[in-house]
Amino acid sequence: MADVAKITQESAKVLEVGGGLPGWVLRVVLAVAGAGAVASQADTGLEPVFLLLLALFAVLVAVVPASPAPAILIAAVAAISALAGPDWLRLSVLLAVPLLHLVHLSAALAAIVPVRSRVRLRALLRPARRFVAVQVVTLGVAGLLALLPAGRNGTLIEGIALVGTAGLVVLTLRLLPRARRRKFTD
Amino acid sequence: MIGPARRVRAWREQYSATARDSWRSTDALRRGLVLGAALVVAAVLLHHLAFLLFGAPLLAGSVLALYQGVTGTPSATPRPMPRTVESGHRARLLVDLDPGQGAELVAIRLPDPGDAGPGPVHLLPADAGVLTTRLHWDRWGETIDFRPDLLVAGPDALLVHGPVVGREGRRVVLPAVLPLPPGPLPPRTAGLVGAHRAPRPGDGTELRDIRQFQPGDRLRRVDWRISLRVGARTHPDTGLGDLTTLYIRERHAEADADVIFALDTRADVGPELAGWSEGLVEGVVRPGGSLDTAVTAAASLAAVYLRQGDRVGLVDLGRPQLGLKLGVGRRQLLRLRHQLVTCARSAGWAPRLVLRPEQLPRGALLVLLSAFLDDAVVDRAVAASRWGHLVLAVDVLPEPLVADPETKWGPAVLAILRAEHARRLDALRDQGVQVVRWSAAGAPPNVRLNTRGRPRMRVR
Repeated sequence: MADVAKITQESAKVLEVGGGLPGWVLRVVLAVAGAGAVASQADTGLEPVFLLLLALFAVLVAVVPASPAPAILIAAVAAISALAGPDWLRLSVLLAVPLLHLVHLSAALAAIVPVRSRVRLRALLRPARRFVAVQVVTLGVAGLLALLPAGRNGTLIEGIALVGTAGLVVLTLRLLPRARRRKFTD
Repeated sequence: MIGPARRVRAWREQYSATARDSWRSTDALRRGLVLGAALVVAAVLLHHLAFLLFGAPLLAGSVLALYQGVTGTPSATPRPMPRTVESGHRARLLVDLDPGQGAELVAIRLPDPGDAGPGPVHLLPADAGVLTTRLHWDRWGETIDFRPDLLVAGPDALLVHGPVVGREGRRVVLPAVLPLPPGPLPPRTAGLVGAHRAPRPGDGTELRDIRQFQPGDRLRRVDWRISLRVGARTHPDTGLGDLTTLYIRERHAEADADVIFALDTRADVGPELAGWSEGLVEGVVRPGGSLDTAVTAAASLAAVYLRQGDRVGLVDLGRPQLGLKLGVGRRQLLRLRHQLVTCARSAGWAPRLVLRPEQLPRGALLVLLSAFLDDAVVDRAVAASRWGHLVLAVDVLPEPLVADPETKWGPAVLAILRAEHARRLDALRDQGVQVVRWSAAGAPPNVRLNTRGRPRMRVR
C-alpha cells in the first residue's frame, strides 16, 4: 500500500516535456505590448516620426530583451505619457500602464529562453497571476486617487509620500543583500 | 608578464563562471527596482500621478520577487541509460529535477519526444520533480541524445541560476541487421566442421562420387547395393558375374568459411552530386548515403554468416588499423557492429587504399563494399581474386543519382560518372568477380553467390 502511495506521489510530480508554445511567442507578445504602448500615445500630440521611431524601438526590444532597451522604452513612453498633460486619468495613460508592465514582464521571461524554445503555458500561470494582482491593485489605487480632490497636496502629505518611497527603497536594499547572502550560504 | 587586457578578460571569465553557479539578479530586476523607484520619486517631485502608476507595478513586482527569495543549488540529473542501443529502438529518459527553494521557472534543454539530438530549451514550471521524454534512435552511429542545460529562475525571472551546461548523454547506436536468407559460400577445407560443402571428400552428407574400393577406405562406406548390382551383371565374354569388386559411396566434407568484409570508408556520397564535394562531418554519416548502405549491408551479411557458424572479420580499406580479426558467434557480430561504427566515425579521405594479402586468410571470401568511384578499389578487388579468393563486390552507389542543377555541366558530369562506374563493374565481372547492387532501400532480392567457375580458387 505504501508502495502504491509512493508511485502515485512520484507520478504526480512527473512532467512530460514537449508541446507548448514556440519560444518566439514571448517575443511577439513583447513586441505587441511595446508597440501598443507606443500607439497609445498617439493622442499626446507627439510627432508621427517620433512615434514611428519609438515603434521601431519596441521591435528592437523584442529582438534583444536582455538589454537596457526595455528600460529605455518604458522610461520614454512613461515620460511622454505623464508629461503630455496634467490630466493623468486619460485613456492613453490607463492603457500604457498595463502595457508597459507587460513589456517589463515579457522581456524578463523572453530573456531567459532562446527564440527556438518551447514554452509550457502552465509555467506562465504564476507570473500571469502576479501581473493581474499588481495591475488590479495599481488601477484600484488609481481609481481611489481619482476620487480624491485635485490640486496641490499639502506639504505634510508630500513629506509622508517621500518617507514612504524612501521606506520602500530601504526595504528593497534590506531584502537585496539577504537574497545575495543566501546564495553564499547554500 | 600578463597584460592588463588579459587580466581583465580573465577576471570577467572567472566572474561570469562564478555567477553562473549561483543565484544572481537579472536586467529585469535592476530595471524594476531602479526604474520603478525613479518613476515613483519623479511622481512625488513633479506632482504627476501618472509616473506613480507607471512605476508602482515595476517596483512592487520586484520587491515581491525579492521578498519571496530563492535558495539552493538547482540540479538536473538524468537517470542512467544503456551505453549501447540498437538502431530503431525507443526508450524513455527520466531527469530528476531539483530546482531549489522558491524557484518558479525552469528552462532546460531536452529532446522533443521522438526527435533526435539534444532538442530545444523547454520553459517549464519548477514544481515538477521528474521530467521525462521519449528517445528514438533511428540512425546508427555515435550520437548525443541529450544535454540538459539548465537555467532556473525565481518569480518573474528576476533572479536566475545558471545557465549551467549539462553533461552530454552519448550513446553508440549499432547499425541495423536486416533479415537475409543464408546463401551458399565458398568451402574452406582446413576446418573439420561447418555448414558448407567442401570439394574434398569427407564425412558430410552430400554425395561426391561412387568409385571402386581402394586400400584405406573404410568398410562402412561400402555401398553394398551398388556393389551387388554391378557385380551381378554378367561379363559378356565369360557370362559370369564379378562379385569381388566393391564400390564405395564418397561424400563431400563439410567445412566452415572465412568471410572478410572490406569496407571502403574513403568516401560517403549521397544521391545528389552537388553534395559530393562537401567534406564529411566527423562521426556523422549521410543518411541513405553509400557508407550508410555499406555498413547496413556488412552488418546484415555478417549476421547471416555468423549464424551459420562461419568466421567473420573486417578490413577498413582507408584505415587498415581499424580492422577486426576473424571471429565467430554473437559476440563477434556485436564487436563487428561496434567496429563498423568506429570505422564510420573515422571515415573520410585517405591517402591510399590498403588491401594486402596478409589481411585475407587463405580461401576466405572477400565481400568488398564500395561505391566504386575510382580504379584503385577495382584493382584491389581483381588482385584479391587473383590471390585465389572468391570476391563479392557489393555496389552501394546511391540510385538514382541526381545531377548538380546549378551548373550546365551537371548532366554531362553525371553521364561520365555513370559510364565510368559501369565500366568498372564490367571490368570486375570480366575478372570473375561477382557484383551485386545494394541500395539504401534495403537488401537486394537475392544475395546469392555463384560459386561455380570461380577463377583459380586456391584450395588448401
